[in-house]
Amino acid sequence: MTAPEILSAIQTKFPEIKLELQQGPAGDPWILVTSGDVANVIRILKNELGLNYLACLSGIDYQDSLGVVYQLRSLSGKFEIMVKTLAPLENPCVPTISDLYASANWFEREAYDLIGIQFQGHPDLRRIMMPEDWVGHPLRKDYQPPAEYHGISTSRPNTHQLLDQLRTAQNRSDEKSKVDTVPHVTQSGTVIPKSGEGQNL
Amino acid sequence: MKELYDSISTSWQLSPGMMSLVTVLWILAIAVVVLAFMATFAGVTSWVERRIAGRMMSRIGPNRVGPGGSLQWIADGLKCFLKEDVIPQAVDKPLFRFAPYLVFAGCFAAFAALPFGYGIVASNIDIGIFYISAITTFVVLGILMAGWSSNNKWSLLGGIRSAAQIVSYEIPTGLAVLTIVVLAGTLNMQEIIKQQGGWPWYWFIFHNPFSLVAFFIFFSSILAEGNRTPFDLPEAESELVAGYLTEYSGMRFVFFFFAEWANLWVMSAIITTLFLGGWQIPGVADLGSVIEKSAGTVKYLWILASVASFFFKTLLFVFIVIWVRWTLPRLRVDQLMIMCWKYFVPIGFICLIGSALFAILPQTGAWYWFQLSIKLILTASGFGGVVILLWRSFYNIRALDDKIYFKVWE
Amino acid sequence: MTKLMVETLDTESTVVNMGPQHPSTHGVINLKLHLKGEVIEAVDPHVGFLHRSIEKISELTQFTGFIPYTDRVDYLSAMFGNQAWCMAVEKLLGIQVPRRAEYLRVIACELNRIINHLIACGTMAMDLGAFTPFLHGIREREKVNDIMEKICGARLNYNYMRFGGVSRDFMPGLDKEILDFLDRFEKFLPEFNRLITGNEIFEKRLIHVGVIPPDLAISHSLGGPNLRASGVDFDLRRDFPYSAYPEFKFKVIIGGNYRGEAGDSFARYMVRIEEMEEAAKIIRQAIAGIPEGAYQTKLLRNPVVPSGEVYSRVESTRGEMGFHVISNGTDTAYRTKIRTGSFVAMSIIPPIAPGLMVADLTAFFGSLDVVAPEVDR
Repeated sequence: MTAPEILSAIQTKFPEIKLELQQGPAGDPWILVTSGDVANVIRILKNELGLNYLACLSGIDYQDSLGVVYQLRSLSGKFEIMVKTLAPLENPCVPTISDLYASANWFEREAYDLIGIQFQGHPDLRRIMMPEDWVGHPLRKDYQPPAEYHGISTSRPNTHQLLDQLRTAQNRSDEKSKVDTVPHVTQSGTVIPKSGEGQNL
Repeated sequence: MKELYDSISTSWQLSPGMMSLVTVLWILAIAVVVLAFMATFAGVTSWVERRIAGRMMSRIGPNRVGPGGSLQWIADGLKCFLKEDVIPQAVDKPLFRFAPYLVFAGCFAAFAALPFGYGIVASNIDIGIFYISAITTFVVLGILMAGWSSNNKWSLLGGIRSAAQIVSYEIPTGLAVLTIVVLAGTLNMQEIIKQQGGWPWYWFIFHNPFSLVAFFIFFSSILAEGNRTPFDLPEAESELVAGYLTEYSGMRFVFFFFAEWANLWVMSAIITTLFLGGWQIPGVADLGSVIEKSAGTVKYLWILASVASFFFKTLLFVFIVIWVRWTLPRLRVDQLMIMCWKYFVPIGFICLIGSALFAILPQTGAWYWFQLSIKLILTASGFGGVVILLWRSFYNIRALDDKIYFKVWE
Repeated sequence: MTKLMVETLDTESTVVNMGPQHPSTHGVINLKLHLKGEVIEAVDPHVGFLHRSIEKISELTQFTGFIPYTDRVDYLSAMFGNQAWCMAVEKLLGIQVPRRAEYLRVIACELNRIINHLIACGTMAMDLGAFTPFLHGIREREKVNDIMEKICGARLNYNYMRFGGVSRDFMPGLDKEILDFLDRFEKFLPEFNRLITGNEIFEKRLIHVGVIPPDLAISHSLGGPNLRASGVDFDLRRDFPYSAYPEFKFKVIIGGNYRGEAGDSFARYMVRIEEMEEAAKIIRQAIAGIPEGAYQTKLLRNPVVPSGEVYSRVESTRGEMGFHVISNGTDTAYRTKIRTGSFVAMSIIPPIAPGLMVADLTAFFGSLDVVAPEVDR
């Protein structure tokens, strides 16, 4: 079955659900569903049309909304369909399908962790890739990584900055010592040069 | 050994005080000699095992340090000796420190009753094999202490598994030993060897079908006693990192492993003594009486031949134990226990009773020919089995006719 | 101890950490086990130790420059990552891959299938205590690594495929070398089976351990040998054909005919062993019938990909490797989601593990063929 056939199969049985068939300039077509209806639509697809295999569930940041894309497949009928739903940025709630497909449990945990979509009804929605106490959702387009995590700096000092800091500190403290001392870098990334002693490396 | 000591005490006329000092020094000297042998054997076995393992896995094994890597064990021992002695903070320190010594002592004490040749035994006690079975259970104490004191749940699991395994497998070991003791009529190791003859059909293994079965039970149970694969759950590398040894490093770790490799010798020596005729040489009907009748250099040559025979048989079994380790996977804990209690113990009892029946048969007339024919049939089937095994091994090697690089020394 | 005493004892389960550093978790994975003695009550996997944010990197790297990253998603069989990514971008670009290039891709991928299953079966044996079969498998893998070096220049992370084909053609004489390897491999496999597969201890450790019923396997989106061992007859190469697979004849191996039952660890192991034989047959057919022609459709080095969404998947060694690629008309992807077989295989551990013993968990985990880089990406 192709995408238009699937769309008409659902629409004839359940005319009240709002569905839309979309496609980009290239690539595969998808069925767009509102976030309130998506669990019901997927239940219909699974029970009525035999799409019993969830191949993939991805969370996407579309910058004006967050999206979830489901790849459903029928193993016996040998056809697949892409289903998409969008949720607003301020309150991205999408009903869970982990009662229909057991693999959705982990897929939705990953979408929550990396994009920030809240799946309502999920039995165990916690982070999966990032540590439990991480702040922020890394795969969002406006994500800024934190400067440090438990005192460990998340950036490496730039070599040129290091040498500049070192030269100015040395010139201030001791005119005669050379630049080839071993710098001492603290945990937060500041550079404390070894003044006075020079080490031949 | 005792004769030498007696001859010294009679030839040198010494006061009782000096005599007791000489006795103490004598005992210490014997202990040092045995300890040196044990330590050297453990070290060389570690190198030999790594080479054999390497060749079986179609790789080379250590070959850099010394000719063919034969000094590798000295390098490893030296390295561990010079390592920092790390004791984790939260362990139970007295138990943690003491556990390796218990394991080592339990293994070393068994060397006191092991024969090496005619008349060469550190202490020819009359309860020889019983003493060895009893003293080797000291290692259970050591392993439990190591597993508990390490303050590590994985070590605890390993220690508990090992304790259950060793204690359980004492029973089939004892039953198989009793099967042989019933035939020999004595617990003394040297006497058991003297009861056997030179030719293979006079060995206890081929004496009757029950002792042949008891041999296999004994071989499996003694592998379990020594924590060797397929029974090496307590140190199962892939599950428990190193089981009860996880928190040990440096010299303490070496103590555990020395005990394991020296245990190979103990295992094989007991098998040789009980089942394979000890230091008897095929061709010489009764080596004991031959040696007693000869004198001078001929006597010493015969004693040397007996030592060579014993060493050959024991080293053959050391090789077989190593071979089994690098071929078979390991059993799960409950499968191990089931095998011990549901299979080995009942079969061991049957073997004991059957062997006892064979022991009380008269030795004259038709009974003699009956027993001799059974021995010959069993010998033929035993050696036939060995020949078939070797033939299949070479067939398997030739089947992959891309030359598996068969050079042993490199 | 009477039954009454056992019931009134106040016990709680021990929590033990299996990992992140552990010899048999095949990578950096933490399994929190709740044990009662030797029996497992619950397993809570903690993943993410090997998270390298490959999906975020795809939003910063150009399409062509991302091909080496797809190697590192599953580095034991890297060609499948290459192929899935190239198929996705080719669908978006709308270009056709020449037939010779498809054949070269199939040969490379099936060789990868063989060497990956050698490691999978070998490490399974190693987890159970038999150290030798793993090294025999590594010996064969070395031969294929040499062939791979002649194909694309690298032994582990290949960077072989490009959009529109492969990066270079076969050297002359390479197909004879691959056929020689296959002759040798077909003699090696019975020897390997004699060593470990027929071993009584090995079979006793694996049969009836970690049985996955077929509907649970489908619900958990398992793929590859994990799914087929439970009796589900599904193979992406046959049912959703891609590349040159429609032109080859091969058998899809289903579990259930081996000792034990369908869906236990031994079935998964045996399916992998037999898949190696089938892969060898596919390579022979491919080399026999490889057409002359171009090995690549020439493209700009840095193509601008029209916007759209596409999901392309290949039958990888661990299941299904899928790339959901969203492009926005530039030369960099907007979002890539990589779906791997090991990720869903990890998700089936919490339902199946309770009731197993610790030693069984090692065998079960090994039979799922999970590698940490695929789980965490």
